[in-house]
Amino acid sequence: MKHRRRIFVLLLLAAGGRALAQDAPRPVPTENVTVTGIKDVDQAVTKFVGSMTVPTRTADKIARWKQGICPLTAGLRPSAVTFVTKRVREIAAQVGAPVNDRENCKPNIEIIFTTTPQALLDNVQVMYPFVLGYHDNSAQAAQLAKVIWPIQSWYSTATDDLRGNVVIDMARRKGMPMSLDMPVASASGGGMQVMASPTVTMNIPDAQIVNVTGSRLGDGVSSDFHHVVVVAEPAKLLDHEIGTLADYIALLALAQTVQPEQCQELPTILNLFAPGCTAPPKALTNVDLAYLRAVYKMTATTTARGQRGEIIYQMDKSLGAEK
Amino acid sequence: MRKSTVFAAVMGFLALPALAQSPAVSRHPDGTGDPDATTCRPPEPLPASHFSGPQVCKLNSQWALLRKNGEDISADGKSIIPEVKSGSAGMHCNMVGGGASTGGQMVCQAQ
Repeated sequence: MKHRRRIFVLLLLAAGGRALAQDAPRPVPTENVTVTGIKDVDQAVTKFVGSMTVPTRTADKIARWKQGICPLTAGLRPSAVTFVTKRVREIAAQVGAPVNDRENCKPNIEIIFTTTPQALLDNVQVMYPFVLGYHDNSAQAAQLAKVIWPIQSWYSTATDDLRGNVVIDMARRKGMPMSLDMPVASASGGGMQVMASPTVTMNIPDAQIVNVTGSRLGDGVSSDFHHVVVVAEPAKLLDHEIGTLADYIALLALAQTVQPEQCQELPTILNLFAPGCTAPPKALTNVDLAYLRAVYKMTATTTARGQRGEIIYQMDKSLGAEK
Repeated sequence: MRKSTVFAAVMGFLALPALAQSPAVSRHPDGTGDPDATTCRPPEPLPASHFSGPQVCKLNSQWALLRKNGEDISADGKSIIPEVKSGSAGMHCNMVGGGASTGGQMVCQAQ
């Protein structure tokens, strides 16, 4: 059976997007890996969350889906397309991420299997650079557009303020120029003293109005995903089953995650392409599910540090770490 | 008179930043110059149409990437197409004649 499934993957990947007439593969069940043999689970979880999560550059928050996800898969035969899309939806529902159930929903997660991923990203850089994620200039855009992994993801995020105004995170925002005259503060006798004059003029060339609470615990601003693109290169995925790939894609599509450059101590599907991992999991593990559930449980408006703390707390609770 | 000269001078001064920011225009942008500056290609005739497409504005880095990959932006500005090499550059082709049952003839003119 396993051999047959491997052939299936080989065929559909070698076809490079051509439709093949075979039955849809069975979904891979989630791996129930018990976190044993790790001395300090809490420490391992803290390290995992610290290295895997990426706060957005504009709001400094961990982004997640606020609008219902609507995945679209392309470049595989129809049954595999259906399988991957369905699996991403299933995992989203399982971890508490919102899912758009409408049949003809507007896709906000694009999963593309292509034999020429770099050419695709070059085209994205020219025609839809916002898809690459926040960047200040073309050098950063070029860096973001580099394809490094066999499966790689790009996140376009948006900032959602206290009053629900949503602005896509982009360097060129078309804001308005603003000048602020501020009194100069000077250090005096161990404290800050505000001098009556002179003043300093602060020029903000691209000012944006964001409504915030003013609280230190949470400013009322959150980061949402606006569009996620996952690109996979079939020729580099010949050794993996479609279920494994769908699970890996789901994790990338539901949380902005750094793809690890070395094997993670905790069992995670992210180890699939990490160099030096001898037996990476073939499905989402309970660590991955605990991570995703925690991301969709955390307070959206608290600080990134607070969000990481909440994720660690929730993961520790699910994985039974001793405090 | 003096008032209007001062007014013109002020207007000229105000217009300077706007002029500095206006994008460069080139019939065949090659991506040279500041990678973060914008260069616009003037409208080009749409294939098989008497109309022209929109002006296409991209960053020089984006034009450079297109040229590196031997590509260009279509006349309608919506897609990436293979770059037309110099031999056939400046040709404008239209379908002439033809009806419901007969095919037309492609007529190309050097621009």
